[in-house]
Amino acid sequence: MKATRDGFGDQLVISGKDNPNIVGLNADLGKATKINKFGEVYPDRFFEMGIAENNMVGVASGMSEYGYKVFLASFASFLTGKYDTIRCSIAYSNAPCIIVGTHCGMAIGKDGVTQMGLEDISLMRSLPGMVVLNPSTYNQTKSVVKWLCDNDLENPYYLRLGRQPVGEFYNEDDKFELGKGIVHKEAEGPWQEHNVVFSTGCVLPDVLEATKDMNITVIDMPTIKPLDKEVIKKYAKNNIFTVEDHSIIGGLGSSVAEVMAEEGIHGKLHRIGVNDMFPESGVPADLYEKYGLSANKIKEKISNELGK
Amino acid sequence: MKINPNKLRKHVLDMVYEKQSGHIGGSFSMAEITAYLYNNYDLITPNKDKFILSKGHAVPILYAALYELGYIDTLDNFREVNSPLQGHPDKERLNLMHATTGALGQGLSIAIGHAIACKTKKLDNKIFCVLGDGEVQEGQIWEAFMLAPKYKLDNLVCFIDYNKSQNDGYVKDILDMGDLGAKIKSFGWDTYVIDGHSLTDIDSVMSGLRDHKKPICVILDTVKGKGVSFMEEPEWHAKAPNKEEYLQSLKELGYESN
Repeated sequence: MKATRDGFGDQLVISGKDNPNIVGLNADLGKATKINKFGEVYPDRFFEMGIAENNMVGVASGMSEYGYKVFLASFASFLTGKYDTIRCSIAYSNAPCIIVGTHCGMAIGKDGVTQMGLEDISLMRSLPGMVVLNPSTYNQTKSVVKWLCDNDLENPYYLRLGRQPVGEFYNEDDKFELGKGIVHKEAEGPWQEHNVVFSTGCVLPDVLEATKDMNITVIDMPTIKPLDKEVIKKYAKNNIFTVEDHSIIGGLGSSVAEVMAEEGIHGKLHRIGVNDMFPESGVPADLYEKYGLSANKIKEKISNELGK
Repeated sequence: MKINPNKLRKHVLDMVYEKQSGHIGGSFSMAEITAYLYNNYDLITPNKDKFILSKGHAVPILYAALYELGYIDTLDNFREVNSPLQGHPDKERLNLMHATTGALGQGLSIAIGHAIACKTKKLDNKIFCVLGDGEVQEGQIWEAFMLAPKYKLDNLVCFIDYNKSQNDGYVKDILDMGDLGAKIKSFGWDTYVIDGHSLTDIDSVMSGLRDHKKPICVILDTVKGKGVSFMEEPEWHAKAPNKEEYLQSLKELGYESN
């Protein structure tokens, strides 16, 4: 098993070979974010900013004016916390940089709340023009990063990555499609009785494990913004669950709620995530069990709701 | 055509009087450096020299220069809906602006990005950035001061419009910056303190740029509201003149009302 952050580091090295305009900016967390892998191979295109994320955001914006595709990486919590700088220097400036926030969610475990990106989707999603990507596995991350490197970007991107190794559910050569949900399994029976789980990011293995004996649809949502409205309209009929290692406020759950309300979808939404609180340090599995994101707890929650 | 600093002040006065909105004080203190840079560098052609106004509220002085040079047709739509002349610089709406600024503290970082990119792309350009002296209270500015010497950005010139006042009053009363020049020099910059209203002083510093191996910081000793006697007070940071004040200002700038 490999982590999504490794998928980022590995693919950036591969894509960097034929694209001399890819550059990396680091703020003293290169080993952790895996952007160091790029720096080791392409030292002339790798810039160490020191522990100064605000400055890094501005430097990225300036460099992007010259055709550089700038990846700037730090922990999701530290980077997206520089909200006003990202807002003015990247989003309002429409600088086509890729903001890479790793160590998302409670899954980082023992380092505790300060290092956990728990509100980053919510923050980045609110910025005009910002695309928000939250891939679930190593291979999916590689295809996302390849897509980012191969395409001309006209606006900024936020790429959310995890620290923990996760199981693999994709092939190495799968093509990433921006704004598309991926159906992993589809419930059987009449449409009116269909239930669905929308999952985003590295909780996908837990969701698949939790639902393996259930007649329920499971959809992976690697793009949070722009959200795949069509897949929501198609599958959101009855009970709709969202699962994310992120605050239930402003993340996938809120995004799905907005689509449901605006499309007049009358299903019942159950948001599973970090429930408007700060968790704590601990072994990741213990945290997931305590705060409801383990396969076991997800299964319990879904079963309870469906049994009502 | 060489643009005249007082003519720029006159345009700023007209804009702010007409719309009863905008920042006169910090625009007036920058009139000489603005005129000098537009007169002596190519700030118009893409991929040439850049002027990043970190103290974005002073943007009327840039609009005035671009109008004088004929690159914008009118100043009548300043701060109006559907206008490229936004309250603070917006490079997406006006590509003659080289950075989108207005949230203070961010421009020097963007300028460093330009300077690094020009070095790596082997473009022989100058990157100019103007900070306010109150703005230097922002922490991000010091992150930027730390970084520029590391990359030996001798293509970067940071000006500080040292006009000694900020939104709520005098800098010395709000948060005294002490010996700014010594602080910045200790970060590894070449620093100068000159009379920011003297085109001769500005020219003598700029003429020697080729001799530098470090980023350069020029502290422009200026007067906020310079050019109109009663505007040389902190209260003219974001105040619009009434008709009487407007007419008096025109007279002091050497432009009689018509």
